[in-house]
Amino acid sequence: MNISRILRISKLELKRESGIINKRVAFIVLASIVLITGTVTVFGVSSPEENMYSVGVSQDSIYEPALNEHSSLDVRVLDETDKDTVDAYVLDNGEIQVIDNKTGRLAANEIKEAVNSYNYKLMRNERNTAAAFPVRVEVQYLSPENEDLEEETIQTESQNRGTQESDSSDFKSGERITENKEPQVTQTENDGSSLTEETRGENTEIEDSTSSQRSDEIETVTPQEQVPESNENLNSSGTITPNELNPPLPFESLIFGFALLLPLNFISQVYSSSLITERDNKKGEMLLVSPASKYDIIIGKTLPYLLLSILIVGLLLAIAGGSFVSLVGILPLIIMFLSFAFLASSFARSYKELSFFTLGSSVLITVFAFIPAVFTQVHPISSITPLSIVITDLQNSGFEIRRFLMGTIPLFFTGSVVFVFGIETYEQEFLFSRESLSNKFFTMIAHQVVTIRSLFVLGALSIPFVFIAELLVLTGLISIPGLFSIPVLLVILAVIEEVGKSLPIYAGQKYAKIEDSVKILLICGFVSGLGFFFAEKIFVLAQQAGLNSLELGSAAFMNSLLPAFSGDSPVGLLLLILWPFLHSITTMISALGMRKGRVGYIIGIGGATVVHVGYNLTAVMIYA
Amino acid sequence: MSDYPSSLEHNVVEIENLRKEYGNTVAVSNSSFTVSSGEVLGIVGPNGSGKTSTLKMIAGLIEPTGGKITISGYSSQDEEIANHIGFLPEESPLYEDMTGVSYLKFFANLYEVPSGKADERIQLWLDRLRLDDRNIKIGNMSKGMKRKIAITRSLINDPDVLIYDEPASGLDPLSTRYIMDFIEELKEEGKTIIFSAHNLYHVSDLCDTVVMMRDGEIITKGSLTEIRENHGTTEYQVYSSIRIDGSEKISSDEFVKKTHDVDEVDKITEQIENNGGEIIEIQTEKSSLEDIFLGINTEGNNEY
Repeated sequence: MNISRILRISKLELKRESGIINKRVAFIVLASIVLITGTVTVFGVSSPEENMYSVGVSQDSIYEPALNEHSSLDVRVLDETDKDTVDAYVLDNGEIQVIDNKTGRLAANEIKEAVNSYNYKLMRNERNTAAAFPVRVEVQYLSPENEDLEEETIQTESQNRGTQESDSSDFKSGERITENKEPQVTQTENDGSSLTEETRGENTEIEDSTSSQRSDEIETVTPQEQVPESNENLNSSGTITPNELNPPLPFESLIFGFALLLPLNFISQVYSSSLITERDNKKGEMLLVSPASKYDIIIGKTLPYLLLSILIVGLLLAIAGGSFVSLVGILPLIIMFLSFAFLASSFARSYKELSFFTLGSSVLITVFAFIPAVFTQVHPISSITPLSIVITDLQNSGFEIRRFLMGTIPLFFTGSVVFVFGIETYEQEFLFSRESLSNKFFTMIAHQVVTIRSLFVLGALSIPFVFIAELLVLTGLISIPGLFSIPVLLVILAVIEEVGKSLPIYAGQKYAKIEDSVKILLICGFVSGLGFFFAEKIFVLAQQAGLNSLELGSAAFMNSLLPAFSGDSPVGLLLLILWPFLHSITTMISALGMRKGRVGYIIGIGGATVVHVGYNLTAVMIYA
Repeated sequence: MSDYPSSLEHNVVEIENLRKEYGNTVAVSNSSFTVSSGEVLGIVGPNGSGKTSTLKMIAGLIEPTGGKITISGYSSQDEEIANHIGFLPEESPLYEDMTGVSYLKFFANLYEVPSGKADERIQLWLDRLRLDDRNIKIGNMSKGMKRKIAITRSLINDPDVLIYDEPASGLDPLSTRYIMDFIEELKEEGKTIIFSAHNLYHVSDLCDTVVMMRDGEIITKGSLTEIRENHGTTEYQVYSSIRIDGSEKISSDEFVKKTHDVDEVDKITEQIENNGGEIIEIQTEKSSLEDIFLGINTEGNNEY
């Protein structure tokens, strides 16, 4: 690689028009996206429920400050005689009078919530937090199998450690109680002190056992911290206050995360458009015969878009208060967008095809990045997307290296491999070929098949793609009950893995890089499967990030690490012996099928899938 | 760039058993030839004969399936080879949103030609090619102007070997004349040139050596004289004042008899004299390259 040539090509890329997209128009659109995203970041997003309910209060009502802080309430100071003009009216004695319809009842609920929130805020500001939070509550999140419990259970114990234990004699540590979700309404005075506490929930049995508790003995949590960490969420507990039992959706952070994807989408479109113009009238031939290498050309052409993406994302993150961690975390996503745009521009034979490919890949990457991010801090699936890193960072919820690696490494490797494969085939013949897309795809793979040893590397390199595909499937099936989703998942994942491992062999055989003999195909299958096996073991991040704590995650990545089974039974022993060779054996089956062409290959994949699923099911039945 | 790293001072280009396959199609089959320093080699052949594939392989644009290419002592695997080649494809694929000069400067930069020298070369070549509107956008240039820009680009690195694929393709007669005259000037300046052309008059005017291709194979190669000797014929035309058997009438007192056999000329003259006639003139006419090309390519190939 020649740095000065790369920079010259980058400079040219910045100067020239980018294909069908006019640079001036591109700049205006991009600036608009940044402006909108920046505005959203600075001023926040109006909740759809903002000012949804009109609420009246009297001139000097002590409830007015509390209600005013609740965005869904449109608070108006009215005489009681005008109460019919609003959805609900709060009398000075705390009684809520509502219009007898659904809106009125919902408004009443919102008022209760508003008062609760306000009281909670006041209590958080109390110097004597022991007085404010006399009960320590530990939340136990139950695994999905126990979801038939409709009532939310909370485990309580004496908050006191030491002297308080004697005061809590009426209350056994670890006792389970139930609480209906009706809010407590606490009347407050204008000075913010708590006056009375009326517990309306009839089933609530939380007892005040800590009136004399010292404030330094209290463990309080911020609303963001109340949600358990993903790697310890299920069957684990965290400290929480009753008010905080409903984890809030990180709405604004999510909107920001989504907005962050918009400029990346747009930049990748401009980038691919620019690349395809090199193929228009074979303009790119002149670069290819110049002393600039393929790597100089592609890196030079990509650099401006990469830097622009980083600049815009960095700017938006700076506005939003994100740290450098977010920027580094989002980098693999930028690489993914650009690498697939590059691939699309290499494959497309027309602007129409280019639009289809870039749109398709953008949608897939956006879905992959955004959907799991919705569950940030709630569900471990969120750890697969870098957006969860950004959201966590924006909420100052701490940094975890395992989650960071999980969200970045697969995307980084996938994007990088796509770039390398694409650059390797950035040649006149490939670029200007009118061959079918499938042939172009196989040509690209076959280009990498040099020796049998290269199949080991290709088998290993298929891992990030397989992994991403599996995570996409996992994301799609996450809401389906395990009874149905697990068998489906086992089959789909086995197919994905078998295709991933055997594709390089198929491509190599198709383009006569691999001899069409039983012996050679078996060796190739073995080597590719072995490469896949080793890479899979390195990709232990799935486990590390806690995905295996999910029922689906466990099913998906059950072979990722050392097997749970042992040689304590003949079947177990067989499974254990076969474990390191499973991928090689199944790939050999697929490879054998290739001798009979495409149909044979499909049949081979079918056979390999049956063996693969059979192995996994046996393991599940015996040891799950 | 005359310091060749190997002993191939004489042969600037060496092609050995060059082969190119596209799937099951053989585009170029085991072609071998050499080009000496300062020599102009023309590759002729019908469409699909493998001319462009051969030139693109020599230029390093496409990878040969087999064989060996050596230019100025560098093998085709050597990245340095690009600095010794100037390639002009059949079309002029230029960045139309750039001006002629900025486009040329960009390529001069890629070839790491010092800025002052690049300006000098751009000025020189464009002047010689008589391109005055060099600072307008390429998209607004005529086809002939674009061709001149493309030719200047091929010379920007002062290469040892120029590889021109149909240099006058699609140009009007005036532009064609300019371009061909310019290539002749390059030849006179000692540039080594390999080019393909459909117009065989250009080839016979410019080339020292000709390679004829058909169906991916070289069917003949050599100097024009050698090719004429090997594949051409000489026609002897005996003009006389009287008609004899087999003669054609030119005018009322002039007739001509033609033969390809030099021994028969004596018999014809003797016959004329015996019949009281007078020999007006004896002419010889050799086959043109086009005649040879057509002759070779129509042998057993009626599709051409």
